[in-house]
Amino acid sequence: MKNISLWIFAAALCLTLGLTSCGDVSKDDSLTKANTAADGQTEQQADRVKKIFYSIPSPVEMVSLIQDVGSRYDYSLLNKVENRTKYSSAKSKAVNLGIYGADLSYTSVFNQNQESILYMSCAKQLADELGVSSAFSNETIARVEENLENRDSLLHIITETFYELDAYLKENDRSNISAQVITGGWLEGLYLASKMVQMYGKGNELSDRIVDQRLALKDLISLNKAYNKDGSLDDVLMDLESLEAIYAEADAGGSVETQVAADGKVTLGGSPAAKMSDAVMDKLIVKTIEIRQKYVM
Amino acid sequence: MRKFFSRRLRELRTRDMERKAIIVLLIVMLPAFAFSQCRRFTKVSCIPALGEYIPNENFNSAVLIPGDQAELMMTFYAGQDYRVLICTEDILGEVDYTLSDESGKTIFDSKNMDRGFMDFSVAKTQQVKVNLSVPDRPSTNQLIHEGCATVLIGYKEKG
Repeated sequence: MKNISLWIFAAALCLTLGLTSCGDVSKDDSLTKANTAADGQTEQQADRVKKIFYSIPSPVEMVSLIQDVGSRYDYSLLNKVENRTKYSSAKSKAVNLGIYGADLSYTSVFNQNQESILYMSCAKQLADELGVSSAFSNETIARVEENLENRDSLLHIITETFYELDAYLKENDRSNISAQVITGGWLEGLYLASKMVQMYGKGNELSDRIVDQRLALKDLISLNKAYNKDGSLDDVLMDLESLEAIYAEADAGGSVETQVAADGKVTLGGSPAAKMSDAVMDKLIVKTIEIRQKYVM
Repeated sequence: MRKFFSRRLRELRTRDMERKAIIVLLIVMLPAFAFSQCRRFTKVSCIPALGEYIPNENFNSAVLIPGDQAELMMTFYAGQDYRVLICTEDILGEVDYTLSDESGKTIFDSKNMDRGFMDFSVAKTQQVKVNLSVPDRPSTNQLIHEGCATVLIGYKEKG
């Protein structure tokens, strides 16, 4: 009897750990086989894989540029906070959590305190519904409220919060949800930049940044493919690939040349940047708005 | 006498079963605990080293063992300054890493560096690759030293 109890206890504990703790990274969906067994290695060492990460630039990098080029703050561009209750599926919640996160970065960059609190609240509610409330703790909310007047601190807190959220999702074998959140954030950044280019015209730093998104998009597609074991990201991938097809029409630009200054400061690249014709840019903007509209509903 | 031996045999079997159960528990629990500590390790020991750089929102962390390799791809935007930080637990030893630009040229190599982070500016948006390699260590027993490795990326507008 004692033996049976012991084994039941062991099994229950294993199951609990399997369900609650982060998955072993060796099982990570994004991994690709690389290493092979060598004599004398243990079974665990022999079965290792090379871990490949695809990191996507944060939306805050895009919205900061939107402010830098002198665009005016436009609340009407953001996903309406009332829309939050429309999102019932895990996918729509995850993508819109990313979208609200980018909107939160946008309101914060422009020091719009009231709206920042609203979007933080929206993001928190979606995170709660997705079972990721730990990232948006009361302590985090309090830090946001305390730092509303300090733009840089606020951006640090927001990015750290979404970093925590991503860590939690990846640790708990919910990388497909993580990919959807990241996709939503990236798409909203591209959407906001696109709307600005529509309003203020092309041929500036912002339209260059839109052209540069072809590289981030490539990584984003790889990331979604890596986490698409169950086909839950098929729709997202189809949308991203439709954008990729338009990007394929752009000129990729020259090769890079890294320079090291006398003081040791390294600067990567310096050759001609990628270019896109106005017609292709227009097509890309229309497609971006269409996809984003489909997600926010 | 027979009863005594029979009881003794049962006791030995019970102890054997207990030992097996403990081994199973350890095998299952140790990697799980190690990885759950990764997030905390990153938060406490790595993120502060980014300083004034605003962290990227992607969690790029893994539990590695000697002989493991990892690779990170990311787009870096023109007109911005970046800090790429490699943060590993001491148990992994000296982890080698390189950062190469779009052309494949190695820009930073840990072998020639005296600090754990790489600061640079970007003049043309490009994809950068970071490679990590945990040195293989001959083990005299079956114990494998595993530890957390994190790649952190921070950005700031060009000063």
